[in-house]
Amino acid sequence: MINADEIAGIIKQRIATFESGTDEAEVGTVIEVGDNIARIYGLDNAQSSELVEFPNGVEGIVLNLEEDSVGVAIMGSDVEIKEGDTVRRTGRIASVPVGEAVLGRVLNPLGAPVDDKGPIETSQYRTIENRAPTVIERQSVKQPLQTGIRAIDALIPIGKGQRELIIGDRGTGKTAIAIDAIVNQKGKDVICIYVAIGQKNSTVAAVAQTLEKRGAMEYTTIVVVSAAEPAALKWIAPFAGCAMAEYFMYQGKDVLIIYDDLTRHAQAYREVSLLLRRPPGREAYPGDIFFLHSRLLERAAKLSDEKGGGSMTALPIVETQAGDVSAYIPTNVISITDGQIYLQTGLFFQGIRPAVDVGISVSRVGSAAQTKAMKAVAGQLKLDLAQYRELAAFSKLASDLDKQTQAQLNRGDKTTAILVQPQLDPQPMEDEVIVIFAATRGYLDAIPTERVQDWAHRFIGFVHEKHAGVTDAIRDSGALSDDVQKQLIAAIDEFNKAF
Amino acid sequence: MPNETLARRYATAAFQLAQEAGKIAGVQDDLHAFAAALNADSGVRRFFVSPVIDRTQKSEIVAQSFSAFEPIALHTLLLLIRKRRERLIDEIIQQYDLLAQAARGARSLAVISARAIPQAELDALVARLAKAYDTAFDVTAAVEPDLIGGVRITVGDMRADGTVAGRLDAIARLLTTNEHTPESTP
Repeated sequence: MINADEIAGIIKQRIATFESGTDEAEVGTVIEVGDNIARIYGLDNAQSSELVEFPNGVEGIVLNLEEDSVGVAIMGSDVEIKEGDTVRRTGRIASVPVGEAVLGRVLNPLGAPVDDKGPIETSQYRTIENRAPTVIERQSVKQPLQTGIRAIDALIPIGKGQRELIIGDRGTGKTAIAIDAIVNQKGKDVICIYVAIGQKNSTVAAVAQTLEKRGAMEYTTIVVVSAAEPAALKWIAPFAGCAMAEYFMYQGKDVLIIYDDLTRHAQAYREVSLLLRRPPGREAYPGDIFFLHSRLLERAAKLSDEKGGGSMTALPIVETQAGDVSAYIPTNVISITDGQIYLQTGLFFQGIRPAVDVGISVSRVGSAAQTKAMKAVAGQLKLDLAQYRELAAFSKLASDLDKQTQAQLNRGDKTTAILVQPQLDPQPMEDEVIVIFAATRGYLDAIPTERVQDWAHRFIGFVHEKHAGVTDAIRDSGALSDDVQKQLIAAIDEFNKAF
Repeated sequence: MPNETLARRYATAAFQLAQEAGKIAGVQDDLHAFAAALNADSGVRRFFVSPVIDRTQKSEIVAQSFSAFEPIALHTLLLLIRKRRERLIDEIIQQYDLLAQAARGARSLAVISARAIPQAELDALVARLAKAYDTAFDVTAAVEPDLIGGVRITVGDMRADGTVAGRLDAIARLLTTNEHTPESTP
């Protein structure tokens, strides 16, 4: 904390350098205010999305430019704003602080800290709405972004610069996947931004605490706007988080940004739009709801080497109602993103957690970014699971089936069990590879399904202890050479004898 | 406001007729006289805006009472009654004033000061502003002791604040906010 003398000194200096000229400003008058929306008469020259200032210091964003008035969304409390108040143009566009100073902090969408760690010490600001990188400025996704979750890294791989939607009903573990992905970036030089839109403050506090406990806060920024705050703030929150992420991306760094969730974001924007009397469309969303999300997600990119080669990976989250992915917002965001991770309630309650439905989840660009070692084992895994799904319907009649079918079902049970993973237990790529290798090569066929988890856990410990060379080789080369495979098989045999 | 848009339609129509007839000021005076009559007695206003009173009856009474008006002004009032738009009258007069002002090539200028400014000083001020803006002004002067000292001038949307209160506000803003210039798009 700075002491009182220093504060007095700063104030003294500011007053001394204060230029006392006439203050010229363009002003308008509030003619109507309510629901965090104000209609202003005058301000004929105001521009769209410009900030205006109300007498008590509250700011608003100009959204509607009409014949006689402008519509402004107030970003703060509207209780002190009265009809007849003077509103002044600021000539600025909303911007947020960016840079190293925001890491480890919990901020609101205007960039003001909401934790108790003092002010944000940075001189760098960035406008919240920016142009997305152009075609020339990009390159294709080519490096993997490990989430540490076996089911995702093997089957729905995510590359740096990709946009992968996490979609599912409430309570299917969407946020859990996002948090796992953040925790797994520890020591990998990836900066994480978690944008919580319209969530309970208690939930966000729990997330912050988890990240703190795991040592993940040092490379993470949380942008939070709670359910109780004005819709305009919820609407700008992802754009504010995106601006912070962009700063790092243009510095040549890798960034992971999570928008949790865009359903609430769309609802907030719908609220603002309807209050501004913009015409409603499907499900009462305004006509530009697609553009709202596409321009946000388009800013995620893998930059070309000339631009520094940085990347922004976006994991937007969308909540569905009763598994209905054909609702308006889910279809919109599915079509914008490069794939989706679909979580299902049914799987969740069967104990398959993360409840990823590998049948309909896809990653449209991520496989190009998968490591060779993972690719080598993932192919067989996909095949096993696809065959298993086809036969699963018969599994109840297992005793009447022929040997081969029974074997396939058994293999399917084991591979499905191997994809179950406890929360907050992200694993390095090499550990994922050896476990999946064992399952797809049939070394787990003789292990009872309920013991598979235990097996995997102990096997990883065993390899690290006795055959560290195997995992080291996979990690360092990123491939699964014949030599390493032989060593791995030997290790599995040795372990299985004792298990 | 939709009302404003509506009112402007009526005001523009009345104004254009008055302009063709060369009676802009006459019609304006009549409209203001009518507004004054409404404001003088709340009973009259209630009678005029009430949707309950029969339209033919209302028209007759208005036509009789204001028979001395310019026909354009009177017909505007009668049309409002027929179209059930009586409530727009104040807005229409306001818009008419703006149109008349624009036709004269004048702009409105508000001079607010902490103490009353002597007429000669005010005239000098207006003359200098008129030269700077190259236009004539309809001046409204007001006194607001809260400003402590100096004058605040408003021309359209532009407000030039040379008051002590304004400077104190500016200092307060300087001390409480973090002015910054955001980085532009790369």
